[in-house]
Amino acid sequence: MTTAPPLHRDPAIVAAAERAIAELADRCSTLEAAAVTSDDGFRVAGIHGAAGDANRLASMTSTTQALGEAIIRELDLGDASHVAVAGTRGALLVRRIGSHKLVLVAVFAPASVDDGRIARGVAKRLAHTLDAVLEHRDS
Amino acid sequence: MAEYVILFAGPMGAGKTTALRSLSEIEVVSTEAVNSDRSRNDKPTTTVALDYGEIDLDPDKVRLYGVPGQERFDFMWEILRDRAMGLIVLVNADAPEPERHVYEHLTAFAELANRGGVVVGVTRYDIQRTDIGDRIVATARAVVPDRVTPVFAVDARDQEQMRTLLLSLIADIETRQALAEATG
Repeated sequence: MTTAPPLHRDPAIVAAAERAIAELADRCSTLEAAAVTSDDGFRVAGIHGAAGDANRLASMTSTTQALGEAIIRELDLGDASHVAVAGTRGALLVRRIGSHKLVLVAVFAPASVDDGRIARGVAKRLAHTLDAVLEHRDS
Repeated sequence: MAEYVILFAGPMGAGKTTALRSLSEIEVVSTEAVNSDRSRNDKPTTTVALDYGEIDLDPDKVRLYGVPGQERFDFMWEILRDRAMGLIVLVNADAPEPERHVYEHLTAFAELANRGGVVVGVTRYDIQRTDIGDRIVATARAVVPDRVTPVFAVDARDQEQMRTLLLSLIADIETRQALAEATG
């Protein structure tokens, strides 16, 4: 019996994540960095501009997502959707990918009103793709 | 009434989240994620942001923060250590070179260890390695030479043992504060 590789080293998951990131980059001209990470902060795929160290961004994404979900849970606000952090030069968006143990992070500089909608669509399509990939992997 | 902010640091699997749950009188705010790479550490979950709990030591209130054990989350160490007054370093005795983890975490939190209080708790100590205590004491002395760092063997699941560890730390902080005020 072979053991499935970790999510961040599964070629099918990495390929799907790379396609999603490419779509996001294609549709958002001010995308500075983006990544798909595991819940525990390992980078699955991503593109990186001037936004610092790629692995550090993956770790911080995991932390941001976990803190956001913990706060939503503590305040009994239902299911967490996304976490947005805005600065004067841009914004960071962290969004869970469906119900998977994976997270999408996107850094926009500057941010625009359409960024959140586009990122939501990309995450939703990636979630559907991963539904099939993970079903096959786990079967 | 005083308020204390205490950090729990130490490597992944040392028992930080368990210890905090043993002590806290509120439901612990936890940020555990599934550990996706069990080949590195065979633990089902790992803390990726912080654990938070509280305990009332009448008349004092203690806020307890557990930091992630993995170094790739060390930005959380920096965020939390600046507001902390005391440090509990937990290491598991069955890890290879537990004194190395003591060295690394005391070094990372040296400023807090010197400014506030510090104790070391050794978990999973009930194994046949009788020299661990001496090695950890020597390591703590090397990193924090200007003070005595208490080292306890503890079971992170045991509320009384963890309470003793915490009270020792609080007493250390209060003693240092009193000395600073007296000489000050």
